[in-house]
Amino acid sequence: MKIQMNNNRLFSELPTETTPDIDSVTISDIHDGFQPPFYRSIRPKSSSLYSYIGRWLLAATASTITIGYIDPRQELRRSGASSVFWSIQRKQGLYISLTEARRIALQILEDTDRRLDEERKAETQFLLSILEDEF
Amino acid sequence: MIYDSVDITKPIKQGDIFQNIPRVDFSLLKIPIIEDDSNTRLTNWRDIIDETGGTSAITAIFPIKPVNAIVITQNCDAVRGEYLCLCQIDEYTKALNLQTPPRNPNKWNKLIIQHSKMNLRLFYLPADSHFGFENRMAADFRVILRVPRQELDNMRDLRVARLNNVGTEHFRESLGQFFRRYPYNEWYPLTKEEFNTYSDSCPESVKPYPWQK
Repeated sequence: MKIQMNNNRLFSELPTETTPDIDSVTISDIHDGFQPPFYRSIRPKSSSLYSYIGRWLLAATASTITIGYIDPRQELRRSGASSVFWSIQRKQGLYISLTEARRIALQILEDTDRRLDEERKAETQFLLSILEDEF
Repeated sequence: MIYDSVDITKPIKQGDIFQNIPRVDFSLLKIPIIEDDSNTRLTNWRDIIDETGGTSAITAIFPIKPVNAIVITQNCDAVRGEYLCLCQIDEYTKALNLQTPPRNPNKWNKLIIQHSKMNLRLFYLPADSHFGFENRMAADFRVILRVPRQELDNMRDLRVARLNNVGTEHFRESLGQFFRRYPYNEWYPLTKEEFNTYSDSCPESVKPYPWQK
């Protein structure tokens, strides 16, 4: 199948004496080893113009482009590969028995009560120290 | 005293006192989780978030302790909200960590009044043997419990009393005052010497303002 390469505005703005006739160049022509006039006719003058426009395009692109980082893990979670991804995640922690889990839970309960008592004690002592002072 | 008995058919209101309300305790650093294959693994909340992406729940083993508590949810929410909030009730001397309780009514009077003014965190609840409150108690506004309303509604037999009208008014005001407070550095107007003594007696580290250096 032949794909027609169309000229564009960028090329049409080139000086007429350097503008090649590329309307008739096809992909099959290139594949056949045919070197179209487009490539042959690039001169230093037009190359400088390309470079000039190219720099402007690059500057415009650099100044307007939005740069962002997408966490691939977040994307994977939304994709069908999510389960595969997480199944190979290394699990953190330590395997314990149910008895040990119960012991830890009870320890957490004791710690909670102890910290609550300590917090109240510190506050009360501070308040009492103000109250007990003689002015 | 300041309590009313309440019929079991009456709906739950702010100021209702319950016994045996479940308090669930947990640590973010030590979480024993039960995995799909029934294995038990000790991990922490940070790693759980990393593993699940913070998008799915885990099953864990937490301790549940029955405590006495008073309803703080206001009455409108108490008839329609999905959950009720209650504050834990402890013995007054325990809450204040008093090693030696006052020995006479005059000292009790001073302690109760002074703490009501200064320690807004605790709401004093007097003893009343008629309701089974053998000791003085205090509701701690910093220890909040959340329970499903309808399920607690079906366990209204756990309700032992209700604050009377005067008690409810004071409770409501104290509760509002506690959560309405703005934080401020009370030491800001002290002189350098006054600040130094304040800093010595304060349980937390406090930084002086430029005019106190």
